[in-house]
Amino acid sequence: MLWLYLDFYQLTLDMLAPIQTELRVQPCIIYRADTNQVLQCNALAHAAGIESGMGMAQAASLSGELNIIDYKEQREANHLTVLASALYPLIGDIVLAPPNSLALRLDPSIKYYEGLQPLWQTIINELTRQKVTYRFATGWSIESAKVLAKAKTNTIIAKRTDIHHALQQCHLKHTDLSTKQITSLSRVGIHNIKSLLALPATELGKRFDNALISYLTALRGEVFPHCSYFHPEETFSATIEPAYEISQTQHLIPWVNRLLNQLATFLRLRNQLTASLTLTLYFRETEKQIYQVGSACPLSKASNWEPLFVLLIEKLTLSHPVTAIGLCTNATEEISDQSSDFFSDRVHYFAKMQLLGRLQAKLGASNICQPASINDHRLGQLAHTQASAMLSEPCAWQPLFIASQPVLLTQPSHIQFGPVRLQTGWWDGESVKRDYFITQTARGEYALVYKSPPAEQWYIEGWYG
Amino acid sequence: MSDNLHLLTKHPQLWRASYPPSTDDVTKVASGFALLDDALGGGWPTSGLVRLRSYQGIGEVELFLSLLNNIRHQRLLMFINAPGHIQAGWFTKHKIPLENIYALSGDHDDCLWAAEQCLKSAVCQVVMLWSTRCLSLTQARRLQVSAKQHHSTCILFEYEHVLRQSLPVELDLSVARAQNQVNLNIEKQLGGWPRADIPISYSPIPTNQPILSAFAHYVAPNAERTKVS
Repeated sequence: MLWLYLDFYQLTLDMLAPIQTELRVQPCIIYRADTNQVLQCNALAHAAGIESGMGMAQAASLSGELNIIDYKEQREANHLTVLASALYPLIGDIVLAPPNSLALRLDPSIKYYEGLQPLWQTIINELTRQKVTYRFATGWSIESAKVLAKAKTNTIIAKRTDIHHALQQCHLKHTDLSTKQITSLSRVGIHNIKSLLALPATELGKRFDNALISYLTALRGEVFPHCSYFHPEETFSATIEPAYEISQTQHLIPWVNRLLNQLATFLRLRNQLTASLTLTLYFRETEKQIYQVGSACPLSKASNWEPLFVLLIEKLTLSHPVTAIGLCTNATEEISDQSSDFFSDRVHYFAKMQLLGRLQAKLGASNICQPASINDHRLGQLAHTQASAMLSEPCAWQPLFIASQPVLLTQPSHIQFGPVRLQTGWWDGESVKRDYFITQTARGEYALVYKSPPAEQWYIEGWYG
Repeated sequence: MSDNLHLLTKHPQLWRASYPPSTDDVTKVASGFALLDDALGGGWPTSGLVRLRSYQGIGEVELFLSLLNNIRHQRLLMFINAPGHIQAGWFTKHKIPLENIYALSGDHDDCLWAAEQCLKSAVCQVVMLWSTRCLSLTQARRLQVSAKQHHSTCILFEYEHVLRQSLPVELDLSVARAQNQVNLNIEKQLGGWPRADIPISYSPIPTNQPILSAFAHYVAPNAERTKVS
C-alpha cells in the first residue's frame, strides 16, 4: 500500500483569501481563543515576525494593524470536503482526516496514470487550481505518511527502504503520541522514532497500553486499521462561513458565486441539471431565512445561475448581519440527449487534467507553459512572467514567436514597418530603449529586428508565424 | 479475381483518380481563401496529419487561422517545439481564448511522444508540431493514425533546412512568400488532385500605409509652399 498524506496547514487562510482582499494586503492571523494560540498566519504576518504557536499578546505586540480571524473547526472541515470532492474524480480512495488533512491511497490508481509521477502531477495541478498550500509525504500506511508530512518531508517516495529511512529521521513530536506518552517513553530511554521502531511490540506491551501498541503497529505498516473512505454526497448542500459578518447585500455575491461554482462541479460530475435552488442565509441573532431561486429551464453552469442570484440579492434588505450562507439543490434531473455538448465537455475536462499530468511528468513541469498577457510592453518579459492585468489593447506589431535569445541578423532585408520606439522599464533595472522594425528578407521571412548599441548590430527578436 | 477487384473498389476508404474529389466523408473547415477552399475540396481537413514546408516567419501559422478560430470550448491547442516563445498578444489580436493554449518543448523524441499523447487524449483539437529533423515513415504514420482516430488535426511544420521526404499524410503543402501574397503548392492530398501556385494574399504584419499616406498628404502642400517661396 502507498498512502499520500496532504496536510493543509493554512486552510482557513487559503479558503478566505480569494474573496477577502484584506488578507492579501494586511498581516493576518487565524487565532484560536480557547488555547490562546495563533494557528495560521499569512506572508505579511510572517514578515512581521509572527509565528504559529504564539499567544495573542505576543502577536499583537509584533504588529499594530493585525487582522484577526477566529478559528472555526467546522469551517475548515467544510472546505476539506470541497477539496475531497474536487480530487474524487482523479483518485477514488480518499480518507478525510478533519479538520485539515486528507489521505489518498495511491497504489490502486497508479496503473491508470501509467506511473506514480503522472498521478502526482495531476494531483498537484488540481491542488494548484484550488489555490491551497499544503505539506505532503507518502508512506506505507496513513499513520506513517502523516508522521512524514508533519515532519515536512514534502517528497514522494515509493520504496519501502526509503520510507523506512525517512521515518527514522523524524522526531517523536511529529507522531500522534501525547506528551505524556512521549515523556514516559523518554524515561525508558526512547528519544526518537528510530529506537521506538526497533523495539518489538511485546516489549512495549509490558509498559504501555493497547492504544499505543496498535498505533505503533500501524506506523510500522504491520496492521492496517479500518478506515472509512470518502464518498461524495448524493445531493448538493454546502454552507460557507465568511470571516466577517455581512450587512451589505453586494458583499454576499462573491460568496454565493463560490457556492455556485461548487454546485457546477458537482452537477457536471453527475451529468445532471437542476431547475431550482435554495439559498439559506443564517443571521447572528434572528432565525435563518430561506429563499427559493428557480429557472425556467434546468441549468448547471455557474455563469447561468449567477444573474438569477444577483437579481434576488439586489432585492433583499438585510435586517441583521449574515454570518453564514447555505446553498442546496431541490431536485436534479439527468441531462437529455439534446444537450450532448455538455457531456463531451465533461469528458474533456478530466482528459485534460490527465494529459497535462502525464506531459509534465515526462517533459518536466518547466517545459510546459501557457501564454499569458501581462501589463508590460517589453517583449522578453512576456515570455516568463506570470499573468496579471492585461494591456488594454494588444499591440498589432507583436510577433507570434519571440526568440529566447536575440539572433544576429545576417541576411539582407527590407524594412516593411516601423519604427516602433519602446522606452520603458526604468523602474526595475531592466530598462529598454529600442527602435523596432519589421523586415522582410528576399525569401519572404518577416522578422522583428532592432539595433543594439554596443556594436551597433541588428538583432532578430521574433518571427511572424 | 475480377469479382474481388470489384469488391475492393467499393471500399469507402479507396479513392481513384477518376472519381470526383471526395467531400462527403471528411468534415472540412473553410480556410477563408476562396481559391484554396476550391483546391482543397471545401477547406482544411479537421482530422489527420497536415504537413507544411516553408521558410520561418512567412505567416505559416496565420495561414491556419480559421482552424484555430474554430476550436471548441474546453478543447486544447498545443504548440510543440515552436521556434520561440508564443506571445499572448497574437492570440488576443485574433480573438483566440488563451486558457486552452499550451506550449511544450523538449528534444525531438520527447516532442514526437508528446504530440502522439496529445492526439490520442481526444482533448486536443489542433496540435502544431515543429520538427527539426525529418520524420520517419513510421513516425508520420503513427501521428496520422492517432489524429484520424481521435478527430484532431496535427500540423507539422518543416522549415527548409529539414530534408524533404515523402510522408503518408492527409495533406502535404509547401508555401513561399512574395511580398503581400504567398504561393501555395498542394503537393499531395487524400481524395484530391495536387495543385501548384495558388495565390493567397494575407500579411501577418501591420503596414506603414497610414504613415505613408499621411506623408503623401502633408508633403504635397508643403512642396507647393516651398515652390512659392
